[in-house]
Amino acid sequence: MYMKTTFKQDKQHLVMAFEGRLDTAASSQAEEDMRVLYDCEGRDIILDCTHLDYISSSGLRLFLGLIKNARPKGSHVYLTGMNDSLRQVFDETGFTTLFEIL
Amino acid sequence: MQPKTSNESLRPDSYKMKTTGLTTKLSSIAVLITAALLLELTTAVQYLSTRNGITRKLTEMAQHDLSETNRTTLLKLDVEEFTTKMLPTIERFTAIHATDSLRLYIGQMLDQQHEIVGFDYCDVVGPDRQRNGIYIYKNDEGKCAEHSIDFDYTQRSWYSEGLKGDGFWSEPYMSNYKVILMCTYSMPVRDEQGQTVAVFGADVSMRDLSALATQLFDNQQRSLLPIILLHGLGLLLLGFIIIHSVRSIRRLQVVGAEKERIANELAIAHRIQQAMLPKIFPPFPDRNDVDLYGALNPAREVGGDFYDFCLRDEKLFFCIGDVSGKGVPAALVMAMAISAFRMLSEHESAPELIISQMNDSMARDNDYNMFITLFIGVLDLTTGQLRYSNAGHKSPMIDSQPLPVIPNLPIGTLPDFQYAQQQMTIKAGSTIFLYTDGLTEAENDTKEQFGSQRMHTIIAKTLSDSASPKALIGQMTEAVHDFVGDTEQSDDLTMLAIRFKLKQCSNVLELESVKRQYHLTLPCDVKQTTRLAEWIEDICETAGISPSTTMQINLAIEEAVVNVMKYAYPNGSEGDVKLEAVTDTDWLTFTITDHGQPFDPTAQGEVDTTLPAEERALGGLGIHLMRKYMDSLSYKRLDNCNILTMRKHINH
Repeated sequence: MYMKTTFKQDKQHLVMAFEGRLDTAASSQAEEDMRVLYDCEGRDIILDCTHLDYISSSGLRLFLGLIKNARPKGSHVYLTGMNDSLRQVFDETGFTTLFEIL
Repeated sequence: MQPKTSNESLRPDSYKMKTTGLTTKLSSIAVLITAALLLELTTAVQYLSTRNGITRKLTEMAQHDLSETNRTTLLKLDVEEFTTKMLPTIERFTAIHATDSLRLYIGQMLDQQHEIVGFDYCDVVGPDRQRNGIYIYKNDEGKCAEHSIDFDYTQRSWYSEGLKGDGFWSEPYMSNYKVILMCTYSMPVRDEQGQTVAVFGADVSMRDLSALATQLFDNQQRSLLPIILLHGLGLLLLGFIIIHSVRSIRRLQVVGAEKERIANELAIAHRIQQAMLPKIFPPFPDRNDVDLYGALNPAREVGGDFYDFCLRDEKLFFCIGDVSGKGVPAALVMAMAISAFRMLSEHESAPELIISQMNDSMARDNDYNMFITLFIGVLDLTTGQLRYSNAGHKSPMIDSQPLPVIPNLPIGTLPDFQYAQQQMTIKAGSTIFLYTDGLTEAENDTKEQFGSQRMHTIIAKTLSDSASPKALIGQMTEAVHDFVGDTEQSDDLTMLAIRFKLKQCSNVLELESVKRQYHLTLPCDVKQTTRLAEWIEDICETAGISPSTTMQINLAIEEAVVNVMKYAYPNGSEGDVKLEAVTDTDWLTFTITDHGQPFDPTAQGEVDTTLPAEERALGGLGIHLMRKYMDSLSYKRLDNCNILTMRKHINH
């Protein structure tokens, strides 16, 4: 049981890749990791979920907090590579409409 | 079965309402007939009384008229007699030409006779045409006065006719000397040779006669008045009767409308009461270990009988009760009792505790001394152990044997009474039959009771055919109806039958292979939830659940456990979260238990998942996911524990 994040950035993008399970136990670590995304300053944020196996409401809360911070700064938040199960969780919670899912 | 039950239960209402309408119509017709009869009677009475009145009046009138006529006749006779008596004296004075004496005599006689207003004495007019007449009369003061007659009296009938015979009454004429209408009775005055020498007449005023006539007329008028009065009275009486009848009809209409309103309200109350009882049978279609059926037929629109049951933690809680009395008062207490049972059976597992608490709440403020005979049973469907407590109710039947019960006391009688609990293990395939005394005490027209012997016979007969609870109650109901016939149902008839069947497994090994139990205890630390995922994945894998469903179950359970850690044990307080998972062929059941603060996640409101990000709250997603991914969620607070049960239907 683990959760790992990888962060990359260039002039236009901030990219964070998630790996493993973003559950409650992992959420405090993820919250720390995601702090870098708060300094987006208009750059687009890409959350790569290709290797994300699981997300609980604690993880969803982090995503919601991020978009609330980014939008007023003119940044877009894109989600990429979600598997079907994950996509279903986003659908069920209405999060699909909040993010730009690629 | 439910529609049949509701049809049966609705029939008395509609029947009652129709009957009420018919009764109203019948009573209206009866009133009309009565009113008509009264009118006829009054008319007859009026006719008779009027006829009697008229006859009486006519008789009186006739008698009166007769007497008046008599008076007139008498007056006439008086005058004639009086005058005739005077005649010899007048003739004697005439013969001796004692004119002064004659005048004096006539004056004296005039004083004696009140009816006569004056006398005329006129000499017979001979060929010399010499007239000599004298009129002696009463002047306005009633004194005697005289006057010589200066007109040609020969033209008067009293003179010309008076000459002829023995007495003549003239037609009325106006007096020449007084303004009165009068008649004159005249007769000839003869000398000793029988020669008529004069005519003597007595004047009678028509005033007296007219007074008599007026009196006669008045009498007739007066006799008319009572007739008119009688007629008026009759009409008044008629009017009074009509108004009274109309009022009676109106009042009856009002009473009828009021009765109809009460009937309607009772019909609604009946439906509400029926709706309080479990009515979906079979109640647990997905369970093959228990089957039950209940029926309640109230004697009136509403009654005091009830039954109820619920399933919790593989235990069937059931009760049957009978409130003292009948009708609306009993129904009110019944409603209170059934809701108390429902609330208590959600939290209490011991029947004697449920019954004691119901007793305490009933006995408090029980000003009207209502009480309930009640039986509560808790059947463990996994073991067949039946725990029960009885409050003065009839002993239920276990197959063909009565269950041994300690009677205790009906609830509501004595606060703080200690109710004894009993228990026994019943065999798989057994049927528990509960009933109220409306069954055994159902009476036919000879006041014979249905009795327990007949009940035993029916039970033995139907159970030997391994009939279902529904069939058992159906046959029992039919038997009671056949026995009672057309006799009015005197008491509520309530039955509840429960058939306990062990899971349909041929042997214990197979049962074990299907049903598995798992346990996990976590300390209050979200970091420990990582163990949860492994535990759930193991369970799901063993049960052959797909990875995507496993993830959903995992998510729902994690949310539930995290909620407990956050809200039941707030601010780092310590405690354990105990998890139990049970799998069988169709269901995966998780039970999460903690000793923390009361926290009911199912009481949390639903989040609006359609709001934009700016308006979305950060919380509430956990319970949303639990609801989405599990098929049932139930919370109870029991023995200072939060117990959350979550079930997921698993398809293979």
